[in-house]
Amino acid sequence: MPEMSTSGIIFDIKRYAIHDGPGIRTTVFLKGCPLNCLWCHNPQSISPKPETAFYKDRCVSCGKCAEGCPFGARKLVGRTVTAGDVMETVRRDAAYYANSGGGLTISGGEPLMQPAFTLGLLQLARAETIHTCVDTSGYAPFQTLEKLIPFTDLFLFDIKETDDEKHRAATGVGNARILDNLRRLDCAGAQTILRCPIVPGLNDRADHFEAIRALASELTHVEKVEILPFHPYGSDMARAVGRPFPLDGLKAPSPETVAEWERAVGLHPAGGLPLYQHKRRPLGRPPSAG
Amino acid sequence: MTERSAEQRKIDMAFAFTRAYQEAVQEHPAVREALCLKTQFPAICLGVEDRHLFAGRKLYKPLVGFLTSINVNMELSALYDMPRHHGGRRYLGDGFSTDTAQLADPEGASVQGESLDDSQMISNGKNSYLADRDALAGLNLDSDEFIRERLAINNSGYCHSYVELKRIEARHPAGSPERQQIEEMIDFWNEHSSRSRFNRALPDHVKKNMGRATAFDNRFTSGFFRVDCYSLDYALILEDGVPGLEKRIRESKQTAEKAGRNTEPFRAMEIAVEVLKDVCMHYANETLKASFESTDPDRRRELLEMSRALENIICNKPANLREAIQLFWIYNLLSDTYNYGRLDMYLGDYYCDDIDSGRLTEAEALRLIKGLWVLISEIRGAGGAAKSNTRILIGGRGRRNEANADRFATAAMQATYELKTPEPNLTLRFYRGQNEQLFQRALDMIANGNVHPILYNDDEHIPLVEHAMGASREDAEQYTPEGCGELAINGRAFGSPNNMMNFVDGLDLVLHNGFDTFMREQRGIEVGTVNEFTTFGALVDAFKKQIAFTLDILAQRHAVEHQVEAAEAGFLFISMGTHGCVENGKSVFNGGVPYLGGIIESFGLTNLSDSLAAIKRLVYDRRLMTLEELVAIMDADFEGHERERRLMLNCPKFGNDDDAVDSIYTEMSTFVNETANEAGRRHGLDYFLICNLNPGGLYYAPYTKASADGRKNGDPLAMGNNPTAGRDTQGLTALLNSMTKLEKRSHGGYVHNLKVGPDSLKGERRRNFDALLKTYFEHHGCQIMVTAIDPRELENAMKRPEDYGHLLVRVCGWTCRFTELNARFQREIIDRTLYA
Repeated sequence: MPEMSTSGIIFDIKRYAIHDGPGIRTTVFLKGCPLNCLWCHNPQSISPKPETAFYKDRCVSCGKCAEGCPFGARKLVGRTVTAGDVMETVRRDAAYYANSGGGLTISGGEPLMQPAFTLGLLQLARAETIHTCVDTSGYAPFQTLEKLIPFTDLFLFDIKETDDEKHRAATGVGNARILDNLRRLDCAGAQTILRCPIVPGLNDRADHFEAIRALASELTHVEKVEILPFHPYGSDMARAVGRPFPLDGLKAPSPETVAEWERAVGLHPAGGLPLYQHKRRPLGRPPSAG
Repeated sequence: MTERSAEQRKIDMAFAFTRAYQEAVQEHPAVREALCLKTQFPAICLGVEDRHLFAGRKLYKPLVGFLTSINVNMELSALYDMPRHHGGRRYLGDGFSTDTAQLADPEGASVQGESLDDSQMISNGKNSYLADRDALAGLNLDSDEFIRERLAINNSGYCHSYVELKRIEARHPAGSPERQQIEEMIDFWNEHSSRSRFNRALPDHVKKNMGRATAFDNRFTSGFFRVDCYSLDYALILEDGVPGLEKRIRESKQTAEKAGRNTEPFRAMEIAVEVLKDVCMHYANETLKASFESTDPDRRRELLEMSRALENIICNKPANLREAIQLFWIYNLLSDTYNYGRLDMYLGDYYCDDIDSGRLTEAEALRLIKGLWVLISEIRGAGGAAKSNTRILIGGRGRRNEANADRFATAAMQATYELKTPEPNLTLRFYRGQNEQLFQRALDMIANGNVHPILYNDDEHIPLVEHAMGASREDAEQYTPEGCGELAINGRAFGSPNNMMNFVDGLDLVLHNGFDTFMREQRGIEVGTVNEFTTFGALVDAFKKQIAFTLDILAQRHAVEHQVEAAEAGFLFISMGTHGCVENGKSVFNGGVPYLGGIIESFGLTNLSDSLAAIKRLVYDRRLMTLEELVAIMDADFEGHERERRLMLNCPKFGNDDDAVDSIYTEMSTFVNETANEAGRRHGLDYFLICNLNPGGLYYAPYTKASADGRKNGDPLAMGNNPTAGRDTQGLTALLNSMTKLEKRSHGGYVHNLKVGPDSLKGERRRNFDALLKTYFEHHGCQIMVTAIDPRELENAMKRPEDYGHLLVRVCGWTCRFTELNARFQREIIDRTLYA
């Protein structure tokens, strides 16, 4: 029985999310991430606890911080909510999901760092026949991941770096466990979209693209490969939560460059469709394997 | 022709018109009107220019004339030599209209009077309230009557432009016979204009409870005297043409004769038809003459065709698309209306016949449609404009020739797509089960940066109109959003939006026991002092009491308008295009039109709801401040109270799918509409409804004090039924969910702007956007106006307007070139949440 009262810490709920899986979705962002990627797009997600973001440029040194900043220079990032609370918001858009083939996406941070909460949300969504996606770095014990499979229609699985050493340098952890989890998921019949953040000068290498292509071809249940081009929007937030942003100054790549990357990974140049799209399981049907 | 001689012609026309009126003063009002119209037309008709494929333009602002709605006397400063600072303010009234005067001379040249066009008006919209007050004080006005009667901005019926006549008078030496004649004419019309009669008919208690000036003075409530936002059923005119119209009049007259009823109204209609034929013949001659004179063989042929069409429609029903459009346009010119109704229904058969029989290629037919669009868009611009916000409807239920109409609708969209002009405002009605291609084509246009078509959901509007206007289902299917979106029923329900109400100011009045702290006078009723509002319910009740009182006043005021209009004239061309008038020998105002009602233009419903939600939370639920403290903070415009303002800003805001405020919005919306409708019916109106769609949110802003939603004095009110710009932060579905929660049984037109990124409707994202709109409309979304735009383009356009003349935006119910807006309007659009 899904547990409404399971609580977790989230930092945002985004509605009409159209980049986190198929259709119109609501994406719930969980706090806490075991990785520390150089390009992190959501630096406020890394710490597992609520924290105060401080926007220095808005501060006028009025000294009223104690009673709540009137200028919005301080903002609490992260709040504890129950799965039931989140579902209150999620179900408001059920009609949009139904008409667009969308649903709920759990993202972060790393959803697997709050396994009970994530599982609770997925179960509640499933009980309401809402399509579910889990956006994960794949860095977690497989047992944790495995429990989600029956309630997850689609995994948005990050492939940040195919070279183990470079993965460690860029994210703080190696990729062996991640790739192993991906293969196990695939064996279990879980559908995945591979999502590949590409950062100029870091992983926009031919061998990386080739490895992604090989990985996608090797696996049976990869629906699609998506390139997530670097953007620098994380830098302000990193500053606000007092984290370094090592890629400060790096610019987002041009659309032409992104198109090149997509070609290199084997994506159709026009629509970003994979050249090797596999047969897709109908949405909303629970997978048979556990 | 010189400017002076053009002006002399205007003066001559004014004298001729005045004489005609005086000679006919004993006649039946409809006959008097017809005889005056005979003097007015074709005298004020303007020439055909080389770019025109159809004949029919006029001087939109004669000095004296019979008109449905004219904005005059806008230039107090010009007349009284007031300083022109305060942002070049020359504006007291609704500010949406122009005083461009143009008159053709025999050679076809034209002269343009000193004036403002729409866009300049908008750019001058920064009308300092103080300038208003100073201007009025500087005139040393001893009575409100002076403002109401002579300086009235918005007039209908027999109108005179007091300010312009005074200016002309001043050019003649004192004691000269010319000056004396003009003085006499001014005196005559000060006494006899319809506006003066209206003001005399208005009971004192109504005057006392209205604003000081006649047009809105940017306070709680005010009113216009006009005939606006109405469309004719052109099927009544086009299907059997002029002979058919004559036959209907003749037969109705015979019936009336047999029954012993007065036949004068029919005589008036017969004269009116003569005027219609006169104008056709006038243009037939003019185009024939131009054809003989033209040296361009193509243009010669075109002019010859135009001339032939004009001649044919005098004696025959329209035989093809060209003739149908020409008759439509001439009739429209005479009816002085600016909403064109369901054009696809009227013209669809002609369009298809011409193409299917090979008379026209699709390209030739499209060229004709574009020719009509050009004339419509010239009403607005430098070519002699008086009005704007023209509307054409396509699609929807209740079109007898749906397949043909759909084909015309597709061509109409193509015309708008190719011309990319702000006018006409093309509007697509649709219902579940309608030819999907129309809707998809509409989205294609929007995807490519068009702000048209505006999307109206029949499945919501038809039941709404049935309930709100008490209309039959069959009639409700002919509903038409007019102007900015005020609801009417094409050729069947008439309700001019002549009443204004600013809810935010209303709440401020209630919080000061009826005292207007801005004007420093009592303007509301005494509903109790703030310390008496011990519960939130008590405050809401006091507010409702004030609103109900004022709505009743407005209803009485509106009913007096109808009485005066009924006694003044037959409004012949409007009546003959309206169901039930010719048959019964009646005008729309004395029992002809099936539903005669009124509309109230309202402002700030969103800010009112957000304010009440904030007061509820901060004062009554959490007790973080008392109501007295809150009122003091707003009176101080938040000066020294940034923290409290932050608290107010953090309260629930409409547009975020938050029931705490959405429920208040719905309650208020239902209350004001139902109360208005009750008041209207109490005073003999078939319906009296509130619309929320005018851009007054910006005009009112400087005069509307700070409100408890955290809005400072001067910040724009929310536009239409949108969230206040930028206060919707929870995503597109949350916004649309808030909008679908609004009551939709009794309003008179609600509109929603949606600003999305330029790629939102393109490529892979289109599918999601389709699903989004589909879901919105399936779940009772009424209406939406989507603008797909790159925010950087807006910013760049502010810096380099010369490069961005093409950029169109929707400002509430109307369409503008972005670069023609003043900076405040531009900023409001930029501040609106962009859904990328």
